[in-house]
Amino acid sequence: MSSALMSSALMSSALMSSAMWSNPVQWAFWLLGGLALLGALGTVTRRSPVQAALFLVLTLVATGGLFLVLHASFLAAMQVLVYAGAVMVLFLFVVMSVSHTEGETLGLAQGTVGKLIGLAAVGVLGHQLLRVCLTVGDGTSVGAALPGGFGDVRSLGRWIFSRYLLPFEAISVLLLVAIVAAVAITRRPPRGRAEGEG
Amino acid sequence: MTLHVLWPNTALMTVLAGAVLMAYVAFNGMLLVWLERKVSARFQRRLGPTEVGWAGLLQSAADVIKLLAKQLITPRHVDRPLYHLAPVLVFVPVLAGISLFPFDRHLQLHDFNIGLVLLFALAGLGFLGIFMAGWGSNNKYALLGAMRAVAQNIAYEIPLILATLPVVLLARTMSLREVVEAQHQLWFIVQQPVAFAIYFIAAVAETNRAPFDIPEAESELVAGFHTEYSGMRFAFFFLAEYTNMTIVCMIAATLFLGGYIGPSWLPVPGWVWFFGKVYLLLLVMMWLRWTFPRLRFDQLMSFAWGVLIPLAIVNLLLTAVAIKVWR
Amino acid sequence: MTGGVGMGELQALAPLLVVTGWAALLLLVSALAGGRSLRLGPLALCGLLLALAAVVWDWRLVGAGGQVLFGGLAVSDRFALFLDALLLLAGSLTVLISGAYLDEHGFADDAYFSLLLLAISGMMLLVHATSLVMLLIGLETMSLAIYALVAFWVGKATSAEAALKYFVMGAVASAFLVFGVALIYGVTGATGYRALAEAAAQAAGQPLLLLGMVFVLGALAFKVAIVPLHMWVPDAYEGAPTPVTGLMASAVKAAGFGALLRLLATSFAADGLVYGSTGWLNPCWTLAALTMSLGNLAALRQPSIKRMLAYSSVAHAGYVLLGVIAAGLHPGQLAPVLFYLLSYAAATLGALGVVAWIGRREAERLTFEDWAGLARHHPVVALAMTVFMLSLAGVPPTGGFFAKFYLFRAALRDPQLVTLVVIAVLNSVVSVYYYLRPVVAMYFQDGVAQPQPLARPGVYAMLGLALALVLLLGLLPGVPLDWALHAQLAR
Repeated sequence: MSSALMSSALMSSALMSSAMWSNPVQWAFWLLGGLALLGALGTVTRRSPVQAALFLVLTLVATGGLFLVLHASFLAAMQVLVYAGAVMVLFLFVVMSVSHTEGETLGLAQGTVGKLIGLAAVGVLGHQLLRVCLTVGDGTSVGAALPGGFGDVRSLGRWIFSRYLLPFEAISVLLLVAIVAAVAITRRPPRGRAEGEG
Repeated sequence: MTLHVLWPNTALMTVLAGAVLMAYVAFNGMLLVWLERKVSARFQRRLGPTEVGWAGLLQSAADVIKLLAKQLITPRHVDRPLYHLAPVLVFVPVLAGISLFPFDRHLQLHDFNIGLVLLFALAGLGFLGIFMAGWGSNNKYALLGAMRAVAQNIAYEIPLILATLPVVLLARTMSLREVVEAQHQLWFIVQQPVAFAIYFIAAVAETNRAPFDIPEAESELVAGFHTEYSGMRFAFFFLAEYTNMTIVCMIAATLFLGGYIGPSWLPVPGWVWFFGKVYLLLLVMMWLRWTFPRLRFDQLMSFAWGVLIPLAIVNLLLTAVAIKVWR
Repeated sequence: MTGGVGMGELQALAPLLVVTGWAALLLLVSALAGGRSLRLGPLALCGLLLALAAVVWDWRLVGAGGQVLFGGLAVSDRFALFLDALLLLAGSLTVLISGAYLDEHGFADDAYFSLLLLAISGMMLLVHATSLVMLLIGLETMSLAIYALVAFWVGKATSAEAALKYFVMGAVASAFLVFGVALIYGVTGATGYRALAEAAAQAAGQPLLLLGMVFVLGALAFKVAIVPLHMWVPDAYEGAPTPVTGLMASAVKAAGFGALLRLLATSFAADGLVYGSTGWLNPCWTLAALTMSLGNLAALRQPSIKRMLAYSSVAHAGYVLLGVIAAGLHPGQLAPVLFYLLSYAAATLGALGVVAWIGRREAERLTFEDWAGLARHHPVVALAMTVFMLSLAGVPPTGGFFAKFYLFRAALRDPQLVTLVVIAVLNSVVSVYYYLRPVVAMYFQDGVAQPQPLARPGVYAMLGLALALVLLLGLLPGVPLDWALHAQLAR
């Protein structure tokens, strides 16, 4: 669900920054945005966990393409490398290890109430999105005011290690927490409780 | 963004270049199959193929014709979309990857400033193809093979990337061409022998070759993740594997062995140097395959996480410190 | 913008850096120990006290106006430092009691204390953040560490269940936070609070901005357990190891409210936004009323003391929300909220400390029957528990009374809030009933067997400190209140 939300947020934010339609960049954007949405829809509607995960890959790759449209080439490559290449492969690995029985499906939104809430949320979001699409004025082209070297490794590195040093370091702490947490909760049972400890 | 292209850069020419690359990939695959047969035969005091063409050179071509003519069998219980998509998804990233290299100073399709990351990103997509093949086949050998392949690829991707980073630090760029150009004085293998060793070991593991060929261990898994594929679909996997080998050797040649740069007093064009280095490395990989026995899975994993990754990290840190101190 | 990091910026963030660095140090120590069981509690305590010293040092350093850091990504002002001190205090009390608790229940303590410190560093980041990006990172750091701490009771089903529930719901909350940040950025093009304030004021009517704000505030409301988003609280609080429950009730809540207050007061204070319009008063008002009432009503019927305290924490979130609303109507009136958070933290930590004290390996002793006759065998601890309960209920002469009095008085200044204050007072009266249940059990019922509590120096030190704090806040509120009054947001 969150990926669907994310991609629509991306769409909407990119929409507002550019409203020129003649440009090939626009077409690339619509194509990739559509693919991302399609993938997100597939992710939440497929009953087979593997297919759902593969649709998520589609969304992630298409989002990488959107980054490319926004001139962030390094981010695009990283998106594909990290998410499609590493995270999703691990995802699938877990799916592969866990679900053995054939035809096993995800129990998605079985209750009517859940479906209604979801429908209402989609309605509200879609309505807002539509309003924005219709009311956005003369946006400027995405590539108009970009400094030279925008989005390449060098400039990104410079930003990360100067202005955005604090979040960068904080994220490294966050990753440390994630690793320590994962190791801590996957230990064997505590002393004295474990059978056959030695 | 500049283009370093042999010919005028038009859409038509790009298509043409793609076709040439595709032809090279096919030719390269056949050549390597022949080479592997010959090398393995020599290691085992045999002759290898001798009948078709001179020294059996056309044997691979004959095999291709055989594969083309074979019936395509789709087993009944496969997950069809995944099963059919997998060979394509394995092959396309490989094809895209090979188009990124500078074969000579002015022989490169397009020099991306993030060429190296792009290569790894494409390799990551290839894992997905392997996974889809293993899952989609609905066969226990295929599934086990895919699980092993994925676990191994993830584990060895980390030291692989970590080993290339010191080179990026030294060359101060991720563009493949600029990395090569930074090696006019000295190849990076001289400054980074440890990184090269780590890279090459991890690369052998990434291509699922002996002694790291656990995903395809014939004695346990029939043929691993592509057990259920036949005819040209099987050929796609096969071709992708050999092209993958070529790609990792091309990366090694580009990053550590000076790419297209050779001794300047020799009147030899750069692309000869480049391909010479690549095929030399490929021979080394074959040599390894026919020399070492297969590792056990736990040995494989503990070698990656316990030895290669720490070593690569230490090497990276030392390089960074050295650059900070001496530059 | 170029340039590295100034020494002054690092100094202003010293408490955060000390805690984070100390967590890494603890990890290294336990890694070098190679699996041998260490007692890292005292070492962790040293780190927290060092950080507390850094807070005191920074309190003078940053001055009344505060110091903006890293180009507006974070800030070090007395508001954040006051909350830092609160967090470190809560952390210290938790560490004090954790050593004995871990021993008793057979946990390996290798990662426990470093996770605890990392959780606190995430909370500190949360209260220092002045950018939605930093807010997100801080929240995630805190949450991940807390999830792991909740699940730390390896082999106990309720602990794993609690952690899983908390984790799954928390992940959804985080997704909403990210989505909200994306929407806000899409409309305003800003993530820094200061820039956001200007851009948001201009885009006040934009529906997408409102949606983004609802998502971000909703994610924070989830962490502090405002009513429709409080479902996880009883299970997570009950299943977690008791010292961790104490940390969640005191520190997580304080950090969450701190971040909420800063975001509201800095960015969403313009006309037409949360703090600036009457349209927002009604929803917030309703939420506060619901939170305190539902929390109290549910707490009335709980058979387990830990669960009762969990619902009591929901109720207290409602009182604090009342203070947050009052602070929105009268900008700058942050002291009542801060003082309330401090006094609630002390009392709830103490109460959960007693819960941890009475539980042994085979029997956690969470029902009221288990506490029967406790006063006869352990009169001092029973008295302490009584004081904690009275403070939670808001009975003089405890800190809880003064905090509530001060909070309600501040809220009464606004005629729009009179009804809400009346509801809050009624709720306080109701809450006396369930807060007195353990007291009645301890003093007026006969126990079946003599309890064998966890008699360890660390536990008694923790209980003593909490008791002293509760009484100090009630009897001599002048000094801490003075600090709270000085704890203003950076301008």
